[in-house]
Amino acid sequence: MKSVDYETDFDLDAPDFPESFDEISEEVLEKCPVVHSAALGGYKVVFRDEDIRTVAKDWQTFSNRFGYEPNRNGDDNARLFPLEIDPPYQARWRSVLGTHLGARTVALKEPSIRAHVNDLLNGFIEAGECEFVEQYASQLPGRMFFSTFLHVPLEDLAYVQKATDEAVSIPIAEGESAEEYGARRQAGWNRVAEYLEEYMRRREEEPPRGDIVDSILQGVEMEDGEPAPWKHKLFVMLDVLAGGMTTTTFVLAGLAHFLATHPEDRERLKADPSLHTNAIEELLRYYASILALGRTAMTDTEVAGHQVKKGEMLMLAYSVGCRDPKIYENPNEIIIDRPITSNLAFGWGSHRCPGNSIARLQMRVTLEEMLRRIDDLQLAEGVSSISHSTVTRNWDSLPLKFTPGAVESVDLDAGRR
Amino acid sequence: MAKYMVDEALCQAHGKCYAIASKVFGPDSDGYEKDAGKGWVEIPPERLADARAAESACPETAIRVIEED
Repeated sequence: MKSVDYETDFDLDAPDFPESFDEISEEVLEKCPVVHSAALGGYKVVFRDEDIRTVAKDWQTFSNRFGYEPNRNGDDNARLFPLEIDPPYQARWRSVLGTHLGARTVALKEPSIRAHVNDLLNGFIEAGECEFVEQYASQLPGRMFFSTFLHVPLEDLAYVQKATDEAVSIPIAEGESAEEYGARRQAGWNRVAEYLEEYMRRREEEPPRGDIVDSILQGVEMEDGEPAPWKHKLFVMLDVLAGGMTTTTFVLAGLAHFLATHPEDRERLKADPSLHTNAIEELLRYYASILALGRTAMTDTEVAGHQVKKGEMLMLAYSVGCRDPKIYENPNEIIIDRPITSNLAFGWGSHRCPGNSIARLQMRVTLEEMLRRIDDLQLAEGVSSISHSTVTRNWDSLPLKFTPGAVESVDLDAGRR
Repeated sequence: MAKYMVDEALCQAHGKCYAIASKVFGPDSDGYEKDAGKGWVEIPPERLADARAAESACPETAIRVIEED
């Protein structure tokens, strides 16, 4: 991407963007706050913290109902709600999710999360080495969703995980057209939808448990006062699942990468747990997992002095906004005690991530248990790599080594209500 | 009429809203906004400016203030 003019030819999926993320972010933040891309049928990208917040907050001018990325093909079998709808209908579904995803409710799940964290660490602690993404970071979010929240068998996890990856995190292939890529992602969504639909039908027949699934099945009213149709309930389940998987995988891998590469900070965090909360905010900023999410302009307008035409898609590059030097001095460094006044990593406005408390809790428990159980953590031989897929940043592999430790007993039913 | 809503999934008990607009917002026993997750709450007209200031100050954009005829 080095030789191209960012202003007119920026590509979120360019293969060198992940490896040169710091440099490219620095350059666009300084020189071109809004760029145009010819890729995937054309879109614009907004980079600066202030501009992202302005657009994200203005849902009347910048709608979500035409999809979250440029090549959503309008296939109505698997959409994501409330991500792909606008207020006021969107706000009703957000209230339903809020009941189950608020910080206090989520805190009740801590014993279950801690048990899964330790069970996963048990899986490789005696070996003194692991491939952290495969053995931990990609596993924990799925266990949260399926085991801690839905109580469904862990055996089903691999299948749904793979389908979700195809829908969200697998990058565009060399020589693949925008249409082919879009169709491949949609096929992944359809497989996830099929699985969840079967689960929801089963739950509809069972006595209610008072959990998030029951609330979604109960539903809300649409704008015309009619009850939300079955499909919309499925779309909400899809969003809850999709929103929490690859995104959390990325930040968990980031946390381990940080611990392996910053031994002095590791000692500080071990000695002083009061640093943990802020350190986690800083890691969420630095390893922000949403590369960009889209809005569609409802009218001809202007963003940071750039003309935007009605119908154009604006990708809000949250991960780049998190590196804005106007907000953070030395933004490409991890400074665990720097003040994070308002974390853009979870988005902004009415679509800000409703699962943020679950992500923060998984980060905190992972940090605590890794500091407690794993000594002398280092990067191991092998490839540690990141890729991009239009909307997410993905950690493909992270080989680590450490002093072998002992397996501990774990009660995976801990904290079940 | 003006009203506000606090998104329960977003409120992290920073406490900015009730520091700025204590006549509109308030803490529950854990410091979260007391009406988080309770739907729309009416704002007396003379408190609208305070409520707007609190909306802008929330670090999580958990507060939505709207005015309707």
